[in-house]
Amino acid sequence: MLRKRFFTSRPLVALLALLVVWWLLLPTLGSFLKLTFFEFQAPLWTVPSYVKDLGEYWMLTKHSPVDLVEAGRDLARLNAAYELKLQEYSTLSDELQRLESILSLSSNARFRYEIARVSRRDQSSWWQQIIIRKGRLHGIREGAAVVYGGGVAGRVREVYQYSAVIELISSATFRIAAHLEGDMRPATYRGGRNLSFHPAIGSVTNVQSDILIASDAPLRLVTSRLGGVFPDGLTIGWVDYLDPGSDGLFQSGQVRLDTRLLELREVAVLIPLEEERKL
Amino acid sequence: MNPNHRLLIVIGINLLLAALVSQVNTAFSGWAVHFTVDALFLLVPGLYLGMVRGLLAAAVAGLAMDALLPLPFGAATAFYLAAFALILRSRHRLRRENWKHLVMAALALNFTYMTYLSFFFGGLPDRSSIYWSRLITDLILSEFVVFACACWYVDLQLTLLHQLGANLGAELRDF
Repeated sequence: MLRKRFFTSRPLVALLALLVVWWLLLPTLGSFLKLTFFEFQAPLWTVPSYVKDLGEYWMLTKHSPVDLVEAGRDLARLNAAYELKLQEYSTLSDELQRLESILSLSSNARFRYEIARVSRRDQSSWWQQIIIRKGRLHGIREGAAVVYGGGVAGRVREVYQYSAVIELISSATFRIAAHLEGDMRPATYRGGRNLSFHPAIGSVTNVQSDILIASDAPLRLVTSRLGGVFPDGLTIGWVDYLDPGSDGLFQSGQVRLDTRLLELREVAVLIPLEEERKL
Repeated sequence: MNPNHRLLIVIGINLLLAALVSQVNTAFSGWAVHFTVDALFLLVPGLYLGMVRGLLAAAVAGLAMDALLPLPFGAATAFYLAAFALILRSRHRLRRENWKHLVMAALALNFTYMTYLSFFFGGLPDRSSIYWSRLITDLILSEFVVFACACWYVDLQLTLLHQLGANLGAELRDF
Protein backbone atom coordinates (compact mmCIF):
# COMPACT_ATOMS: atom_id res chain seq x y z
CA MET A 1 0.00 0.00 0.00
CA LEU A 2 2.72 2.40 1.09
CA ARG A 3 4.84 1.42 -1.91
CA LYS A 4 1.93 2.09 -4.24
CA ARG A 5 1.32 5.48 -2.63
CA PHE A 6 5.02 6.38 -3.04
CA PHE A 7 4.96 5.52 -6.73
CA THR A 8 1.81 7.54 -7.37
CA SER A 9 3.28 10.57 -5.63
CA ARG A 10 6.70 10.20 -7.25
CA PRO A 11 6.36 13.37 -9.41
CA LEU A 12 5.56 15.35 -6.28
CA VAL A 13 8.57 13.94 -4.45
CA ALA A 14 10.76 14.82 -7.43
CA LEU A 15 9.37 18.36 -7.46
CA LEU A 16 10.02 18.75 -3.72
CA ALA A 17 13.56 17.42 -4.10
CA LEU A 18 14.17 19.87 -6.96
CA LEU A 19 12.87 22.79 -4.88
CA VAL A 20 15.02 21.81 -1.91
CA VAL A 21 18.09 21.66 -4.14
CA TRP A 22 17.20 24.95 -5.87
CA TRP A 23 16.35 26.93 -2.72
CA LEU A 24 18.68 25.46 -0.14
CA LEU A 25 21.60 23.57 -1.62
CA LEU A 26 22.48 25.81 -4.57
CA PRO A 27 22.58 29.13 -2.62
CA THR A 28 24.54 27.46 0.20
CA LEU A 29 27.01 25.94 -2.24
CA GLY A 30 27.25 29.26 -4.15
CA SER A 31 27.98 31.34 -1.04
CA PHE A 32 30.46 28.73 0.22
CA LEU A 33 32.34 28.74 -3.11
CA LYS A 34 32.28 32.55 -3.35
CA LEU A 35 33.64 32.90 0.17
CA THR A 36 36.31 30.24 -0.38
CA PHE A 37 37.50 31.60 -3.72
CA PHE A 38 37.54 35.19 -2.46
CA GLU A 39 39.54 34.38 0.69
CA PHE A 40 41.84 32.11 -1.33
CA GLN A 41 42.66 34.90 -3.80
CA ALA A 42 42.77 37.79 -1.34
CA PRO A 43 46.57 37.54 -0.71
CA LEU A 44 47.14 37.99 -4.47
CA TRP A 45 46.19 41.66 -4.25
CA THR A 46 46.79 42.28 -0.54
CA VAL A 47 50.48 41.31 -0.69
CA PRO A 48 51.30 43.66 -3.64
CA SER A 49 49.50 46.41 -1.75
CA TYR A 50 51.74 45.86 1.31
CA VAL A 51 54.82 45.68 -0.94
CA LYS A 52 53.82 49.01 -2.51
CA ASP A 53 53.43 50.57 0.94
CA LEU A 54 56.88 49.26 1.89
CA GLY A 55 58.37 50.72 -1.32
CA GLU A 56 56.80 54.09 -0.53
CA TYR A 57 58.15 53.90 3.02
CA TRP A 58 61.69 53.26 1.71
CA MET A 59 61.29 56.11 -0.75
CA LEU A 60 60.29 58.42 2.09
CA THR A 61 63.31 57.41 4.15
CA LYS A 62 65.49 58.75 1.31
CA HIS A 63 64.19 62.28 1.89
CA SER A 64 66.73 64.76 3.22
CA PRO A 65 66.54 65.73 6.93
CA VAL A 66 65.72 69.31 5.86
CA ASP A 67 62.57 68.06 4.07
CA LEU A 68 61.58 66.07 7.15
CA VAL A 69 62.10 69.06 9.46
CA GLU A 70 59.95 71.22 7.16
CA ALA A 71 57.24 68.54 6.99
CA GLY A 72 57.34 68.20 10.81
CA ARG A 73 56.95 71.95 11.21
CA ASP A 74 53.97 72.04 8.82
CA LEU A 75 52.36 69.11 10.62
CA ALA A 76 52.85 70.80 14.00
CA ARG A 77 50.98 73.85 12.68
CA LEU A 78 48.19 71.69 11.34
CA ASN A 79 47.99 69.79 14.64
CA ALA A 80 47.64 73.05 16.54
CA ALA A 81 44.79 74.11 14.23
CA TYR A 82 43.10 70.70 14.61
CA GLU A 83 43.40 70.81 18.39
CA LEU A 84 41.47 74.07 18.41
CA LYS A 85 38.86 72.50 16.11
CA LEU A 86 38.60 69.49 18.43
CA GLN A 87 37.93 71.75 21.41
CA GLU A 88 35.27 73.56 19.41
CA TYR A 89 33.77 70.21 18.34
CA SER A 90 33.70 68.97 21.92
CA THR A 91 31.89 72.12 23.10
CA LEU A 92 29.35 71.85 20.25
CA SER A 93 28.82 68.15 20.94
CA ASP A 94 28.11 68.84 24.63
CA GLU A 95 25.72 71.62 23.65
CA LEU A 96 23.91 69.30 21.24
CA GLN A 97 23.53 66.61 23.89
CA ARG A 98 22.19 69.18 26.36
CA LEU A 99 19.62 70.42 23.84
CA GLU A 100 18.61 66.88 22.96
CA SER A 101 18.01 66.05 26.61
CA ILE A 102 16.01 69.27 27.18
CA LEU A 103 13.83 68.66 24.12
CA SER A 104 13.68 64.88 24.68
CA LEU A 105 14.94 64.25 21.13
CA SER A 106 16.44 60.98 20.05
CA SER A 107 20.17 61.50 19.61
CA ASN A 108 21.89 61.25 16.23
CA ALA A 109 23.77 58.09 15.39
CA ARG A 110 27.43 58.30 16.38
CA PHE A 111 30.22 56.57 14.53
CA ARG A 112 33.72 55.25 14.96
CA TYR A 113 36.06 55.70 11.99
CA GLU A 114 37.96 52.57 10.90
CA ILE A 115 40.76 53.66 8.57
CA ALA A 116 41.62 51.13 5.85
CA ARG A 117 44.05 51.02 2.93
CA VAL A 118 42.73 50.24 -0.55
CA SER A 119 44.30 47.10 -2.00
CA ARG A 120 42.46 46.92 -5.32
CA ARG A 121 40.46 49.30 -7.51
CA ASP A 122 38.09 47.73 -10.00
CA GLN A 123 36.29 50.37 -12.05
CA SER A 124 34.79 49.06 -15.26
CA SER A 125 31.97 50.39 -17.41
CA TRP A 126 29.54 48.13 -15.51
CA TRP A 127 30.64 48.30 -11.89
CA GLN A 128 32.84 50.54 -9.76
CA GLN A 129 34.25 48.95 -6.64
CA ILE A 130 37.31 48.89 -4.44
CA ILE A 131 38.63 46.30 -2.01
CA ILE A 132 40.06 47.38 1.34
CA ARG A 133 42.47 45.56 3.65
CA LYS A 134 40.11 45.40 6.63
CA GLY A 135 37.10 43.20 7.18
CA ARG A 136 34.86 41.49 9.70
CA LEU A 137 37.66 41.14 12.24
CA HIS A 138 37.90 44.93 12.39
CA GLY A 139 34.20 45.40 13.06
CA ILE A 140 33.17 46.26 9.49
CA ARG A 141 29.64 45.21 8.57
CA GLU A 142 27.70 45.11 5.28
CA GLY A 143 25.97 48.37 4.34
CA ALA A 144 28.32 50.58 6.39
CA ALA A 145 29.13 54.03 5.00
CA VAL A 146 32.61 54.70 3.62
CA VAL A 147 34.14 58.18 3.44
CA TYR A 148 37.40 59.82 2.38
CA GLY A 149 38.92 63.30 2.32
CA GLY A 150 36.60 64.42 -0.47
CA GLY A 151 33.37 63.22 1.18
CA VAL A 152 31.38 60.04 0.57
CA ALA A 153 33.28 57.18 -1.08
CA GLY A 154 30.57 54.51 -1.11
CA ARG A 155 28.98 51.71 0.86
CA VAL A 156 30.29 48.33 2.04
CA ARG A 157 28.79 45.62 -0.20
CA GLU A 158 30.53 42.45 0.96
CA VAL A 159 32.57 41.72 4.04
CA TYR A 160 35.16 38.98 4.43
CA GLN A 161 37.48 38.12 7.30
CA TYR A 162 40.34 40.48 6.43
CA SER A 163 38.91 42.47 3.50
CA ALA A 164 35.75 44.16 2.32
CA VAL A 165 34.28 45.14 -1.06
CA ILE A 166 33.03 48.72 -1.36
CA GLU A 167 30.61 49.91 -4.01
CA LEU A 168 31.67 53.42 -5.03
CA ILE A 169 29.23 56.31 -5.38
CA SER A 170 30.17 56.50 -9.06
CA SER A 171 28.70 53.02 -9.63
CA ALA A 172 25.52 53.03 -11.72
CA THR A 173 23.69 50.88 -9.15
CA PHE A 174 24.45 53.19 -6.20
CA ARG A 175 21.55 55.22 -4.77
CA ILE A 176 21.35 57.41 -1.70
CA ALA A 177 19.12 60.06 -0.12
CA ALA A 178 20.66 63.52 -0.38
CA HIS A 179 19.90 67.22 -0.22
CA LEU A 180 21.47 70.38 -1.53
CA GLU A 181 23.42 72.48 0.93
CA GLY A 182 21.14 75.04 2.56
CA ASP A 183 17.95 73.22 1.55
CA MET A 184 16.81 70.35 3.74
CA ARG A 185 14.23 68.94 1.29
CA PRO A 186 15.29 65.48 0.15
CA ALA A 187 16.54 64.56 -3.30
CA THR A 188 17.92 61.33 -4.74
CA TYR A 189 21.50 60.80 -5.78
CA ARG A 190 22.36 58.04 -8.26
CA GLY A 191 25.75 56.95 -9.57
CA GLY A 192 26.30 57.59 -13.25
CA ARG A 193 28.07 56.33 -16.31
CA ASN A 194 31.69 57.33 -16.48
CA LEU A 195 33.44 58.32 -19.64
CA SER A 196 37.00 57.06 -20.17
CA PHE A 197 39.75 59.57 -19.37
CA HIS A 198 37.24 61.79 -17.53
CA PRO A 199 36.41 62.29 -13.83
CA ALA A 200 33.49 60.36 -12.35
CA ILE A 201 29.98 61.76 -12.42
CA GLY A 202 26.58 61.00 -10.92
CA SER A 203 23.09 62.44 -11.16
CA VAL A 204 20.58 64.01 -8.82
CA THR A 205 16.82 63.76 -9.24
CA ASN A 206 13.72 64.93 -7.34
CA VAL A 207 15.18 68.39 -6.67
CA GLN A 208 12.49 70.99 -5.88
CA SER A 209 11.62 73.25 -8.81
CA ASP A 210 12.26 76.53 -6.90
CA ILE A 211 15.99 75.88 -6.54
CA LEU A 212 18.17 77.94 -8.87
CA ILE A 213 21.88 77.55 -9.47
CA ALA A 214 24.03 80.44 -10.65
CA SER A 215 26.46 79.52 -13.41
CA ASP A 216 29.46 80.65 -11.34
CA ALA A 217 28.32 79.18 -8.00
CA PRO A 218 27.71 75.42 -8.11
CA LEU A 219 25.75 73.93 -5.22
CA ARG A 220 27.15 71.24 -2.94
CA LEU A 221 25.15 68.02 -2.76
CA VAL A 222 25.38 66.45 0.68
CA THR A 223 24.14 63.29 2.37
CA SER A 224 20.84 63.22 4.16
CA ARG A 225 20.11 61.49 7.45
CA LEU A 226 17.04 59.97 5.76
CA GLY A 227 19.28 57.36 4.13
CA GLY A 228 19.92 55.85 7.55
CA VAL A 229 23.53 54.88 6.95
CA PHE A 230 25.24 58.21 6.35
CA PRO A 231 25.37 61.12 8.81
CA ASP A 232 23.98 64.40 7.54
CA GLY A 233 26.11 66.87 5.59
CA LEU A 234 28.88 64.79 4.01
CA THR A 235 29.88 65.98 0.54
CA ILE A 236 28.71 63.82 -2.37
CA GLY A 237 29.64 66.20 -5.19
CA TRP A 238 28.84 69.49 -6.89
CA VAL A 239 25.83 70.33 -9.03
CA ASP A 240 26.57 72.86 -11.79
CA TYR A 241 23.11 73.07 -13.34
CA LEU A 242 19.58 71.68 -13.05
CA ASP A 243 17.14 70.78 -15.81
CA PRO A 244 13.39 70.81 -15.32
CA GLY A 245 11.88 67.33 -15.21
CA SER A 246 9.14 66.13 -17.57
CA ASP A 247 6.54 66.29 -14.76
CA GLY A 248 7.27 69.98 -14.05
CA LEU A 249 7.42 69.34 -10.30
CA PHE A 250 11.05 68.39 -9.86
CA GLN A 251 14.43 69.12 -11.43
CA SER A 252 17.38 66.87 -12.14
CA GLY A 253 21.04 67.42 -12.92
CA GLN A 254 24.52 66.04 -13.21
CA VAL A 255 26.71 65.71 -10.12
CA ARG A 256 30.43 66.37 -10.49
CA LEU A 257 32.35 64.01 -8.20
CA ASP A 258 35.79 64.62 -6.70
CA THR A 259 38.63 63.64 -9.03
CA ARG A 260 40.32 61.75 -6.15
CA LEU A 261 37.48 59.22 -6.07
CA LEU A 262 38.94 57.13 -8.89
CA GLU A 263 42.35 56.93 -7.22
CA LEU A 264 41.44 56.22 -3.61
CA ARG A 265 44.30 54.86 -1.51
CA GLU A 266 42.82 55.13 1.96
CA VAL A 267 39.24 55.34 3.19
CA ALA A 268 37.40 55.37 6.52
CA VAL A 269 34.50 53.04 7.26
CA LEU A 270 31.85 54.50 9.59
CA ILE A 271 30.92 51.94 12.21
CA PRO A 272 27.85 52.89 14.28
CA LEU A 273 28.77 52.87 17.98
CA GLU A 274 25.31 51.70 19.02
CA GLU A 275 25.56 48.63 16.81
CA GLU A 276 29.05 47.87 18.08
CA ARG A 277 27.93 48.11 21.68
CA LYS A 278 25.13 45.61 21.00
CA LEU A 279 27.63 43.12 19.56
CA MET B 1 55.45 14.44 -14.49
CA ASN B 2 52.20 13.75 -12.68
CA PRO B 3 49.40 14.93 -15.05
CA ASN B 4 47.63 16.62 -12.15
CA HIS B 5 50.66 18.84 -11.62
CA ARG B 6 50.13 20.27 -15.13
CA LEU B 7 46.68 21.31 -14.06
CA LEU B 8 48.04 22.97 -10.91
CA ILE B 9 50.66 24.85 -12.96
CA VAL B 10 48.03 26.15 -15.41
CA ILE B 11 45.72 27.17 -12.54
CA GLY B 12 48.62 28.82 -10.69
CA ILE B 13 49.74 30.84 -13.72
CA ASN B 14 46.15 31.88 -14.43
CA LEU B 15 45.83 33.16 -10.86
CA LEU B 16 49.10 35.07 -11.24
CA LEU B 17 47.80 36.64 -14.46
CA ALA B 18 44.57 37.60 -12.66
CA ALA B 19 46.65 39.28 -9.94
CA LEU B 20 48.74 41.09 -12.57
CA VAL B 21 45.64 42.31 -14.43
CA SER B 22 44.14 43.54 -11.15
CA GLN B 23 47.34 45.54 -10.49
CA VAL B 24 47.19 47.05 -13.99
CA ASN B 25 43.50 47.94 -13.55
CA THR B 26 44.27 49.49 -10.15
CA ALA B 27 47.06 51.57 -11.71
CA PHE B 28 44.85 52.74 -14.61
CA SER B 29 41.70 53.39 -12.55
CA GLY B 30 42.48 57.12 -12.39
CA TRP B 31 42.11 57.27 -16.18
CA ALA B 32 38.73 55.53 -15.98
CA VAL B 33 39.72 52.60 -18.17
CA HIS B 34 39.41 48.90 -17.39
CA PHE B 35 41.04 45.93 -19.09
CA THR B 36 39.12 42.66 -19.43
CA VAL B 37 41.36 39.87 -20.70
CA ASP B 38 39.49 36.76 -19.54
CA ALA B 39 39.98 34.95 -22.86
CA LEU B 40 43.63 34.43 -21.94
CA PHE B 41 42.65 32.15 -19.05
CA LEU B 42 41.00 29.72 -21.46
CA LEU B 43 43.59 29.36 -24.21
CA VAL B 44 45.87 26.71 -22.70
CA PRO B 45 43.09 24.72 -20.97
CA GLY B 46 41.09 24.74 -24.21
CA LEU B 47 43.86 24.09 -26.72
CA TYR B 48 46.48 22.05 -24.88
CA LEU B 49 44.89 20.18 -21.95
CA GLY B 50 42.71 17.07 -21.99
CA MET B 51 38.97 17.34 -21.47
CA VAL B 52 38.77 16.68 -17.71
CA ARG B 53 41.83 18.69 -16.71
CA GLY B 54 40.95 21.51 -19.12
CA LEU B 55 37.42 21.62 -17.74
CA LEU B 56 38.75 21.80 -14.18
CA ALA B 57 41.21 24.58 -15.09
CA ALA B 58 38.41 26.56 -16.79
CA ALA B 59 36.02 26.00 -13.85
CA VAL B 60 38.59 27.14 -11.26
CA ALA B 61 39.40 30.28 -13.30
CA GLY B 62 35.66 30.98 -13.67
CA LEU B 63 34.96 30.52 -9.95
CA ALA B 64 37.91 32.76 -9.07
CA MET B 65 36.45 35.49 -11.32
CA ASP B 66 32.95 34.93 -9.95
CA ALA B 67 34.13 35.59 -6.41
CA LEU B 68 34.96 39.16 -7.41
CA LEU B 69 32.18 40.16 -9.77
CA PRO B 70 28.91 41.74 -8.66
CA LEU B 71 26.98 39.18 -10.72
CA PRO B 72 24.86 36.17 -9.74
CA PHE B 73 27.42 33.62 -8.54
CA GLY B 74 28.28 31.20 -11.33
CA ALA B 75 27.73 33.62 -14.22
CA ALA B 76 31.43 33.78 -15.14
CA THR B 77 31.90 30.04 -14.54
CA ALA B 78 29.00 29.25 -16.87
CA PHE B 79 30.60 31.36 -19.60
CA TYR B 80 34.05 29.85 -19.04
CA LEU B 81 32.68 26.31 -19.26
CA ALA B 82 30.64 27.10 -22.37
CA ALA B 83 33.66 28.76 -24.01
CA PHE B 84 35.85 25.81 -23.06
CA ALA B 85 33.34 23.41 -24.63
CA LEU B 86 33.31 25.55 -27.78
CA ILE B 87 37.11 25.58 -28.04
CA LEU B 88 37.23 21.85 -27.41
CA ARG B 89 34.69 21.28 -30.17
CA SER B 90 36.60 23.42 -32.66
CA ARG B 91 40.05 22.28 -31.52
CA HIS B 92 40.60 20.23 -34.69
CA ARG B 93 39.87 23.22 -36.91
CA LEU B 94 42.25 25.54 -35.06
CA ARG B 95 45.99 25.33 -35.73
CA ARG B 96 47.25 26.25 -32.33
CA GLU B 97 50.87 26.55 -33.55
CA ASN B 98 49.75 29.30 -35.94
CA TRP B 99 49.80 32.58 -34.00
CA LYS B 100 47.10 34.10 -36.21
CA HIS B 101 44.62 31.35 -35.29
CA LEU B 102 45.51 31.68 -31.63
CA VAL B 103 45.11 35.45 -31.58
CA MET B 104 41.86 35.34 -33.57
CA ALA B 105 40.40 32.78 -31.16
CA ALA B 106 41.45 34.90 -28.15
CA LEU B 107 40.02 38.10 -29.64
CA ALA B 108 36.72 36.43 -30.52
CA LEU B 109 36.43 34.88 -27.05
CA ASN B 110 37.18 38.16 -25.30
CA PHE B 111 34.67 40.02 -27.45
CA THR B 112 32.02 37.40 -26.66
CA TYR B 113 32.77 37.60 -22.92
CA MET B 114 32.37 41.38 -22.86
CA THR B 115 29.13 41.11 -24.83
CA TYR B 116 27.96 38.50 -22.31
CA LEU B 117 28.68 40.88 -19.42
CA SER B 118 26.84 43.68 -21.26
CA PHE B 119 23.86 41.35 -21.46
CA PHE B 120 23.97 40.85 -17.67
CA PHE B 121 24.13 44.57 -17.01
CA GLY B 122 21.59 45.36 -19.73
CA GLY B 123 18.90 46.22 -17.18
CA LEU B 124 20.83 49.12 -15.72
CA PRO B 125 19.37 52.61 -16.13
CA ASP B 126 21.07 55.47 -17.95
CA ARG B 127 22.27 53.59 -21.01
CA SER B 128 23.29 56.81 -22.66
CA SER B 129 25.92 57.51 -25.28
CA ILE B 130 28.41 57.76 -22.38
CA TYR B 131 27.73 54.12 -21.55
CA TRP B 132 28.39 52.95 -25.09
CA SER B 133 31.41 55.19 -25.47
CA ARG B 134 32.96 53.84 -22.26
CA LEU B 135 32.10 50.25 -23.20
CA ILE B 136 33.62 50.56 -26.68
CA THR B 137 36.78 52.23 -25.31
CA ASP B 138 37.22 49.44 -22.73
CA LEU B 139 36.55 46.83 -25.42
CA ILE B 140 39.11 48.27 -27.85
CA LEU B 141 41.77 48.60 -25.14
CA SER B 142 41.08 45.08 -23.83
CA GLU B 143 41.24 43.59 -27.33
CA PHE B 144 44.53 45.39 -27.91
CA VAL B 145 45.98 43.89 -24.70
CA VAL B 146 44.71 40.42 -25.68
CA PHE B 147 46.24 40.82 -29.15
CA ALA B 148 49.56 41.83 -27.62
CA CYS B 149 49.67 39.21 -24.86
CA ALA B 150 47.93 36.07 -26.19
CA CYS B 151 50.97 34.45 -27.86
CA TRP B 152 53.35 35.49 -25.09
CA TYR B 153 51.03 34.13 -22.40
CA VAL B 154 50.49 30.78 -24.13
CA ASP B 155 54.26 30.52 -24.76
CA LEU B 156 54.95 31.27 -21.12
CA GLN B 157 52.64 28.50 -19.91
CA LEU B 158 53.93 25.97 -22.45
CA THR B 159 57.58 26.79 -21.69
CA LEU B 160 56.97 26.40 -17.98
CA LEU B 161 55.14 23.11 -18.51
CA HIS B 162 57.94 21.89 -20.79
CA GLN B 163 60.67 22.96 -18.33
CA LEU B 164 58.91 21.05 -15.57
CA GLY B 165 58.77 17.94 -17.73
CA ALA B 166 55.12 17.89 -18.80
CA ASN B 167 54.40 15.87 -21.95
CA LEU B 168 51.52 17.75 -23.56
CA GLY B 169 51.64 15.54 -26.63
CA ALA B 170 50.71 12.54 -24.49
CA GLU B 171 47.89 14.54 -22.86
CA LEU B 172 46.43 15.39 -26.26
CA ARG B 173 46.82 11.81 -27.53
CA ASP B 174 44.98 10.57 -24.41
CA PHE B 175 42.22 13.00 -25.20
